[in-house]
Amino acid sequence: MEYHELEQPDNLSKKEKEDAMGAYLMMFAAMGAGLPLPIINLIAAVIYYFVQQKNSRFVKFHSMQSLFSQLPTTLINAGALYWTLQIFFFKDLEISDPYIGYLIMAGILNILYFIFSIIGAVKARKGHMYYFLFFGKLCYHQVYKITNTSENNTVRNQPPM
Amino acid sequence: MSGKIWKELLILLAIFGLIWIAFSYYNYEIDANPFAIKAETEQEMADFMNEYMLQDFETINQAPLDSVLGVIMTRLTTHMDTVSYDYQIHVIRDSQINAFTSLNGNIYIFTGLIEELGSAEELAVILAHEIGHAEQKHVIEKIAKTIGMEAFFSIATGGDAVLMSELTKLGISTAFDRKNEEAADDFALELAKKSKINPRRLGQFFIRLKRKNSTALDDLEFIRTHPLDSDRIQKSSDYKTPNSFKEKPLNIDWDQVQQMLP
Repeated sequence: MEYHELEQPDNLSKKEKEDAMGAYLMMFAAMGAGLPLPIINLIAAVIYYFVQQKNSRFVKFHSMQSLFSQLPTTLINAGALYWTLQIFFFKDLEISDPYIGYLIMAGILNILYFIFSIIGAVKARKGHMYYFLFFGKLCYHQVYKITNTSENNTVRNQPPM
Repeated sequence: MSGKIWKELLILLAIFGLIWIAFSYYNYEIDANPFAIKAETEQEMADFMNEYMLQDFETINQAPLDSVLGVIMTRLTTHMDTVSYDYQIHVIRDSQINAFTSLNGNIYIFTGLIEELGSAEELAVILAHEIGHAEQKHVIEKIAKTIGMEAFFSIATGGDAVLMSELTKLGISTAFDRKNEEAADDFALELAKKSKINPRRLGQFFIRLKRKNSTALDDLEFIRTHPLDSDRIQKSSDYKTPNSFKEKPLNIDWDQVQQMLP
C-alpha cells in the first residue's frame, strides 16, 4: 500500500501547526465542560474533526488521532458512570472488587490520555508527527494512504459484449 | 501495516485488561467490619442497655428454665469455631412472639415465643440465628447506622433515662437489613448442622409464623423485626444436609418447659 509523503516542520504554516495543536487542547476544554456527561467532549471531537476536513493531512491526522483516542476513554468513563449509578440505585451501595479495579483502570487510562494529549499538542505545535500506540498507526493509515478514487469514479462506457 | 495496527490494538487491550484484573484481585485489606468497637466499650454499652431493658420488662429467673437454656447453649457453643461472647440468655415475660440480640452477647427471648415453639430444637435454631447476629456484630452495625455510635455512647453516659429507654426500645423494634438477616440465617443453618440439630426446623418455624401472621395476629413482633420473605423461607426449609445426617435430640422435656412459664 502506498502512502502520501509526510509534511516536514519547515513546510507547515503556523496556522496548520496551531490547528493541529488545537485538536488536542480542545478536548480538555470540552472535557471540563462535559465532566458529568462524558459524551459532550466526544461530540466536540467529532465536530472539530469534520471542520478540519479541508485542511492539510497533517492537521487531519492530529485531529483524527485526538478523536480516536478519545473514543475508548469516553466509553470507559461512561461505563464507570453507569456502573456507579447502578451501585448507587440498585445494588444497595455494595461495592465489588471488579468495580474498584475498573475505577483504578479508568483513572490510569484518563491520566495516560491526558499525558499523551499534552505531548501530542506540544509536538503538533512544533510541526512534528506524534504517534500514539495503535491510534498513531491507525490514523496514519487512514489519512495518508493513497486511494485511487479519482480513477474509479469516472465511469467509462463500454460497448456490449 | 494493518497487521501492525491490530497487533498494537491487542497490546493496548491487554495492558488495560490486565490492569483491571490486577486491581480487581488485589487484596485491599479493608477491615471486613467497619463497625468494630473495643470490647470494653461494648461491655459498657451492653450494661446500659440491659439496665434500661430491665426497667421496661420483667425477666424470669428460674433455675430449671436457665438450666434448659444452658443445655441448648452448651450444645451450640461447643460446635462453634470461635465464641466471641459469654452468652447470656434473658427470658422476658411478655406475650410478644419475639427474640432479639443486644450487645455483648445478651440475647432476649419473650415467653410468647417459647409458648409458640414446638420443641427445644426449634428454640436452638432460633438461638443460633440470634448468635449469628451477635457473632457478626450486626447489632453494633444497626445502632451505628440508626443513630451513630458516638451519639449513642454520649447519650448512654449522659444517662438521660427516658431517652435511653426509648433508644433501647428502638434498638429492639427496628429490623436488621435483609443482608444481615440472611447472614444470620446462614450462620444458624450451618451451626445447627454442626450441632446435629435439623436445620430445616428454622424454615418450618418461619412457615408456621407466616401462616399465623396471615390470620391477622398483631403480636408477631418476630416478623416485624425479622422480615421474612419467601427467599429466606425457601432457603432454610430446603437446606441440604448430607444423607448420613441424623438429628441428635436435645435431652429436654419441652412440655415441661412450657409449663414452667408463668
